[in-house]
Amino acid sequence: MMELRHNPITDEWVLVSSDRQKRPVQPSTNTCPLCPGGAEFDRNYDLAVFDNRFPSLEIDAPDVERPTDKTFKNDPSFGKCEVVMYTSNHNSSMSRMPIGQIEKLVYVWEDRTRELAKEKRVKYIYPFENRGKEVGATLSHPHGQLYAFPFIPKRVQAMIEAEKKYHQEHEKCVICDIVESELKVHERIVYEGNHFVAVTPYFSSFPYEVHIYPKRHISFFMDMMPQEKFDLAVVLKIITSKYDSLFDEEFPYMMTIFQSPVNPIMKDFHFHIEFYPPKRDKNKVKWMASVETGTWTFINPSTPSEVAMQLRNALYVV
Amino acid sequence: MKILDHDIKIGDISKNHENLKISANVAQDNGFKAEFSLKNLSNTSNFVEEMELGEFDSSESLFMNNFQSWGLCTFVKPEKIFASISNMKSQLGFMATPIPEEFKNGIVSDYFIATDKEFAGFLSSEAVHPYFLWQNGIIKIKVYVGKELKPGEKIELGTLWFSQYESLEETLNEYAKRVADLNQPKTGKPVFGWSSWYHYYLDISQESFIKEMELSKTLNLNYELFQLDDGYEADIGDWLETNEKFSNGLEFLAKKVRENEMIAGIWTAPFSVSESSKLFKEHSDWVVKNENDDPLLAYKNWNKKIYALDTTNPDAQRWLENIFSALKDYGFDFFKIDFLFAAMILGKRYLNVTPVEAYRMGIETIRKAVGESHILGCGAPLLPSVGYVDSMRIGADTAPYWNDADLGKPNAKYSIRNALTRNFMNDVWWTNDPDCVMARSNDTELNRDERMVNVYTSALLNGHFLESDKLSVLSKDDVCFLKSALNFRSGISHVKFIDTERYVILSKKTINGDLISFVNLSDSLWNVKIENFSNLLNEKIDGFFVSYPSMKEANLFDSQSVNPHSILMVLHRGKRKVVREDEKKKDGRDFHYYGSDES
Ligand SMILES: [Zn+2]
Ligand SMILES: [Zn+2]
Repeated sequence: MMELRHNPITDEWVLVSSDRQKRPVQPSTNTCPLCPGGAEFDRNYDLAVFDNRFPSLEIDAPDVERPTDKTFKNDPSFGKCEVVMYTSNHNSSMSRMPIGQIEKLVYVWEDRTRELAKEKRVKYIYPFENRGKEVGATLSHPHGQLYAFPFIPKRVQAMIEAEKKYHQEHEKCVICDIVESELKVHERIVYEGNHFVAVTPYFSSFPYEVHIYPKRHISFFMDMMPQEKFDLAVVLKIITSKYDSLFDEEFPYMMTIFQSPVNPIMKDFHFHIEFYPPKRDKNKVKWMASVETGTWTFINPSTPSEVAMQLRNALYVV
Repeated sequence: MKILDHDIKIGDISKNHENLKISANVAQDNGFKAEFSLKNLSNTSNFVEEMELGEFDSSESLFMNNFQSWGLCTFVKPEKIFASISNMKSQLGFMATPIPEEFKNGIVSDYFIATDKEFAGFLSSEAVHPYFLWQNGIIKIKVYVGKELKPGEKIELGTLWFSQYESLEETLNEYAKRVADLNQPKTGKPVFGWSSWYHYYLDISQESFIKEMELSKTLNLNYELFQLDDGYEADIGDWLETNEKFSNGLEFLAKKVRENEMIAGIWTAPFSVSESSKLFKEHSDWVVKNENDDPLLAYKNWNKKIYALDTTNPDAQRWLENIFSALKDYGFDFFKIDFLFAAMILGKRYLNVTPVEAYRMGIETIRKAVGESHILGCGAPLLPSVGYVDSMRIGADTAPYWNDADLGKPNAKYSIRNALTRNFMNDVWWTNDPDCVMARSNDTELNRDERMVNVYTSALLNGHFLESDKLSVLSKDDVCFLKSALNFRSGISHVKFIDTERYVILSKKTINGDLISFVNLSDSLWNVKIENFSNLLNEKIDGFFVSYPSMKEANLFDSQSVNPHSILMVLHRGKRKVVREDEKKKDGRDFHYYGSDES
């Protein structure tokens, strides 16, 4: 069974997808399905994008049986769930990939956004990566995913409204202001590139949370100049390499990429990337528990400026 | 330009000299190509030494080359250095030249030479040793033969290519290609490896070697090769017998390396026989002799007299073949063979062959024994080795200190200088070995800039990349420094000579993409503008420049300063061409493959 169900208590959409129970787990042998010659690929590739074998959203979504009671609302689970292969090299990762490979990935994200936006029913395109078993990644081969939603997800909607509110008060874009302030106070900057800046936000929810903001107000991958795409690749490489060197291990994280909604686009939206690592320390995991999940309120046990210093001093390979 | 006392002309030229006839066939070939041969016209045998084939005018500065791995290849002002070199002539042994006598007469450049407008180079050294002798403003074209010619016997003296040039760098590339066309070498793949030499030197032990190998795994360094250098053997010549530091022997070590999924490499000096070795005690007749039939000193090292193996002696050949067959059977697959010049010294051998022929017999014997395994030549005569070795050391030993005289002794500066000036040989004659890199920040006199020259220049030139550190003393920063340098391998680089101490490297398709690098070996600041070299760069859509490692955008027109003893690297980027190929699978799923014209 596969459909969208509306939660009238919170006004959120839920992707109901009971087929996903059959998802693969990390195989114990070296038969990676994502390697060239593995279950998904009968050919070699450099970068690749493909429809998830177990999607929660699909273009040819099955028709839904409407609920008989008017309290409840559902919809076909229209959209796309794509897997984004960063490289054919199984033992790589964003932190170990050459900058040029990450740069190509940026072009791929751009191309996916442009392509998927052509379908007018797609409202939000969301690339992300789950890295490490701590965040439920089942395959270690370097890859990310991308969801094309038929609605604007709740938290993105919250960003849009917060931005509107901020704009009314300050007559400026909220992230443009954050960038200006962070560059001015210089306390929480982890790495400053030519066009992007990585900070541990003043308001971090996770101890090792890092946001990457473009210094210029841009809304999409499509707005980026070649210099900006390259610089974003550099900043992604340096941040993930620093993460790995923090505890000398593969650092788990959720990487989330926020761009403007599509159909219609919102030029006021300021593109950015957020990293949420689940770690509090080398051997401590920060769980999403009752407070975080139930109230959307986070308890951050560390000081962002101190984490920024720790990450600034972390060495990296470039 | 004169060939055999005649002004150069197309066709046959000959000259008689004391019952010897030298002939030349001259043809036009983007300049001239002259094939020389020599015939003994008398009815008695005749031991032939050096022969003069022609001459041309020198310029104030010459681009000169020494015959072997460690020797210099650079611009020199012969007038200036003649005095100092002739003072040293008593010290000049076979390590410096196969023909020490000639240094009394002038300055020698082996195999090739360039004036400020003309280039001359021999395309092979199969039987004789070709060289150029500068003498009072004249360059003499010469060969050394070194064997007895029977009555009527004729030998080939090789082919000289002579050309006027506009770009020396392009002419060197053309020369390299001509040599390769004639000798048909197959070039191998450069490797990333670890060598025991530049930290442990002779103190390497079995335990240290294994410990380093284990640590390399922990540090995720992913070496392809782990190479044992000098220090394991019982004596120079007694290669299969280990000293007390290697109690389990060589086979045990080779197996250990292979268990760690790396190529096992081993150093030997196969044409060298120490006075104290068992080999010499048992077979003193297997070494090259002087006129009195006494063993002839090839060179001194390890505080010992070293004699040269007579590679023409069938018993010595069988011994040599057995040594390398045994090492190969142990599991070694990479052979660094050192002090190879020893096989080419002038002296008496079992067979009446020239020193060059003797050398080639020796290296051919090793090749036969190791088959397809990798051979890295070192301390080797360059031109006669083309086609026999997979890779070749092309400069002096490096060192954890910057500077020494430019005499082929260990030092970081001139070692890397040769990697730059002899880069034209890389991937054409063989894979160049610029000697080891050292990433360490302690236990070295090199500062960060100098280490960067050592490590990054080697990576950029994309010959072998052999690291030689004690891995446990590397700081985390040193490891990042080394791993970052690996991102500049796998490219194709061309070197432009600015002067003897300043070079520009143009690299394409390294792991980190295209870049231009400025190497300043001098003691003074160098101001550069990328704009001045923009004609050498690839066209790029929306091109831009980014300095490395700062990653700050750089301007084509800005003047940037390159510190003394440093390398300035600027990435050349542009809009990427990423192409997509769509595929619909049978199950209805969409697949999109993305690729690009460059990595
Ligand atoms: Zn894989
Ligand atoms: Zn903005």
